[in-house]
Amino acid sequence: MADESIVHLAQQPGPVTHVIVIGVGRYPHLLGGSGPRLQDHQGLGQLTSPPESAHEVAKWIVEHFHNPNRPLGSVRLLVSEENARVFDNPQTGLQYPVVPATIARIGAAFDAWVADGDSNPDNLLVFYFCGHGLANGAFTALLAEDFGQNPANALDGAFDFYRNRLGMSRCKAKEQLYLVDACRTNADMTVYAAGYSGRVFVQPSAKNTTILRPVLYSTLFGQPAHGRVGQPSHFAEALVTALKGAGSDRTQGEWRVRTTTLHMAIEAHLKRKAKAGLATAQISPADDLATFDIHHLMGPPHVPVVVSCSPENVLPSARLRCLAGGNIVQERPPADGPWELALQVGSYDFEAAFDQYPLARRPGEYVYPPEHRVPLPVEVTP
Amino acid sequence: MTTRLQLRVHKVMSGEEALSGAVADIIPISNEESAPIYKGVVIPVGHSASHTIDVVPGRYLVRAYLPSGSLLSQQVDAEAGKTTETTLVARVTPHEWLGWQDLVGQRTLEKRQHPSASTHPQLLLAEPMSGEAMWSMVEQVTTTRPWSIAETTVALRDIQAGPSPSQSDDQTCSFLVEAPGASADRQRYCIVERDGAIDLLSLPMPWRRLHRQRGEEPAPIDIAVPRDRREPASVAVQDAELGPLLGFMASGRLDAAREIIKKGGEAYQQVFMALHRKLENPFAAAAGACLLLQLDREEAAEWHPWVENLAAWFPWLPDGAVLRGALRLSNARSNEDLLAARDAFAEGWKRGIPTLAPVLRLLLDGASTLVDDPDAEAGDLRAMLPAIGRAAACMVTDQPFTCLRLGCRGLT
Repeated sequence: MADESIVHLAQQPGPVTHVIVIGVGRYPHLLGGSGPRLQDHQGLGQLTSPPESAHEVAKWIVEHFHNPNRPLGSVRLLVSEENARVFDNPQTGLQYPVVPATIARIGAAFDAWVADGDSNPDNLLVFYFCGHGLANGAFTALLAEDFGQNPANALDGAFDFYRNRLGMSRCKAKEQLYLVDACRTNADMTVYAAGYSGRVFVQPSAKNTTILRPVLYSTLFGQPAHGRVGQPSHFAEALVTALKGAGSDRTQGEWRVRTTTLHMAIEAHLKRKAKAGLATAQISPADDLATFDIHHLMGPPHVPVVVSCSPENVLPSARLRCLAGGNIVQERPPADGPWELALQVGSYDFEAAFDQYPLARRPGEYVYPPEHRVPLPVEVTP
Repeated sequence: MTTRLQLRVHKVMSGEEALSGAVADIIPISNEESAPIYKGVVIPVGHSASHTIDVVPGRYLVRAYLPSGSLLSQQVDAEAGKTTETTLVARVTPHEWLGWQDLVGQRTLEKRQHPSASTHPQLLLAEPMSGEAMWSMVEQVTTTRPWSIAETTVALRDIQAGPSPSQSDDQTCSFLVEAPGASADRQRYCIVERDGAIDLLSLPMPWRRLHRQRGEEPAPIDIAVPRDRREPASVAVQDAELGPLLGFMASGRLDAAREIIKKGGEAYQQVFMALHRKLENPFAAAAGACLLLQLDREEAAEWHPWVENLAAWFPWLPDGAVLRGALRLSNARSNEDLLAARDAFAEGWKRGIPTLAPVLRLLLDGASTLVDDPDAEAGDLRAMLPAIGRAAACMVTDQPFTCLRLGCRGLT
């Protein structure tokens, strides 16, 4: 059978990077779905964010992923959404129909992804899932489109993330990164079955216990992930921002995104959004956070910068400026809330000018990933 | 003359110091091309202790991260021939007594702005009747109805009322548990009951801080209980060296733990010593072995036999046997290794539920890995796996010490 989830394929000599991206927004058997409703739906319904997240992540990777040691070899994309789209490959200009993320198709794509990983032990594997997840302690069930299709075995439409990841020790690829952008709420999988968390595509084995397989989660166990209606999730946005450069550093001599710096940038992004009131507090916990390279930047990164005043309540009357070498780089008229901008790594001066207070300055602020915060001290006179 | 940076992270924690509390990168931001980056510098967190490092003169960005995930950064000019003091300031908690738990990653403290949803927590202290009784009890846990104290205590004995809160406010109660004069010769548990929600916490008690020069001293165990029953209780040990490392380990930040226990460094010696001096604190020895198992992949390392001893000398402690199994499995070269790993995991199971949450995870990983491997002949483990799975399904995954939430699903 042809590998129908492939949306990008590049023949490369030597080790390469193989990526699988899954986004599930359409759940016919959950609230608001088009099919027979699962009686124990536990309040789970349709999602609009995962398809956007999956498309965004896949597109960015195809267009920008750069790792000279392990160039991009393939991208697989599976998306379930109300109105299926094609994937416009930004590298080749070709259009690919996107296959729905049913459990059977996820299984087939997963098997093919594992087989690709087996082709060279130095291959890098990247897994991204966005959709509903159910967590019980160490176990997480990731729900495919057809979750609940069989009411007698609802989890037959899900896959067991814990056991599949453990089973990935069978795969020869020594470095594997897992990104789980899913609610891991208190909705309870034992309502459906005790001791079963969904399908296992690759059984655990004692074959090779030395592979590195860190996981970054969008939320702590018991916490809902907060997608946004019709937009990529905060985690997906954080991931792409991190890959663009917020998750890089040059401690290896050149700008690289590594698993650990990626995690720091994602966490910083989520906290920033929470602080700005755009999301409730999302934390990005990790499992087995070993360090290896993911992506190399072509030049110095742009870094998220948050400029505010201390005290913050003077912001509505502050004219905020960012300067480099005495020249204004960017400015913002008086407005509510902190000013978020992206600046290339380097040294900048920041100012807040007022009609009623003295000029507040922070000169020579060095902007460096994963983010930089500039609280401008304002002398507020009574 | 030497140019130095004297670094510390300031955090108010009722006078406590965390000597390996933060990991920093010191990045040159003036003469960028020539100055080196100083990576993985371990900085104390507290009110006075500091770490001094020789640097090339210039301007630097000091970027430090803590077990809680907080990232701190500050610019500093290292003047030639001088020692420049640099203090990064960590998050201030509403009370000093919450400082330590905040440092080591008690995540629920981040959500304290939400109104509380429960009242007064009740604590009981107890010992397990036997390892098998504990597994049998856990296997009965169902998440579709509330669990009760009576259903928990069927596997426990010597049940006593716990202490009153040492500190509390409208959101969190803190209990300090100490066992002066007690021997580390059994597992101990704390049961926290909040309006029908039961948390079963492993207590690594007594915990003794180990000092290279000064012998050892007892350290209190801090149990933080949010009044909101939806949030789990948590256990932290006020151990300046190992406490933060346990926090990094529990949150999966092996990269930071790896920097702290770089081979030959002070913290490595501390972890090494914890395992070596297992008679003084077998819980710390298990924590040290768990860290070394994940971070020191050297074959036939000096500490490997000490894990064997930990398993052999403390037959009441499941962690030692499980760690022996995990070590054997991670270095497996033959069927004999697989069989030895299988036997060690089975032995660990018989002893009970591991005290350390990452060790419970190792037991789950090991048993799950071996049951389907035909060479492991894992019949016994297959029978044990459902109970291990049930415990793993109840566990709080980002805490260092095992916390099982019993029958708490759907509590809103």
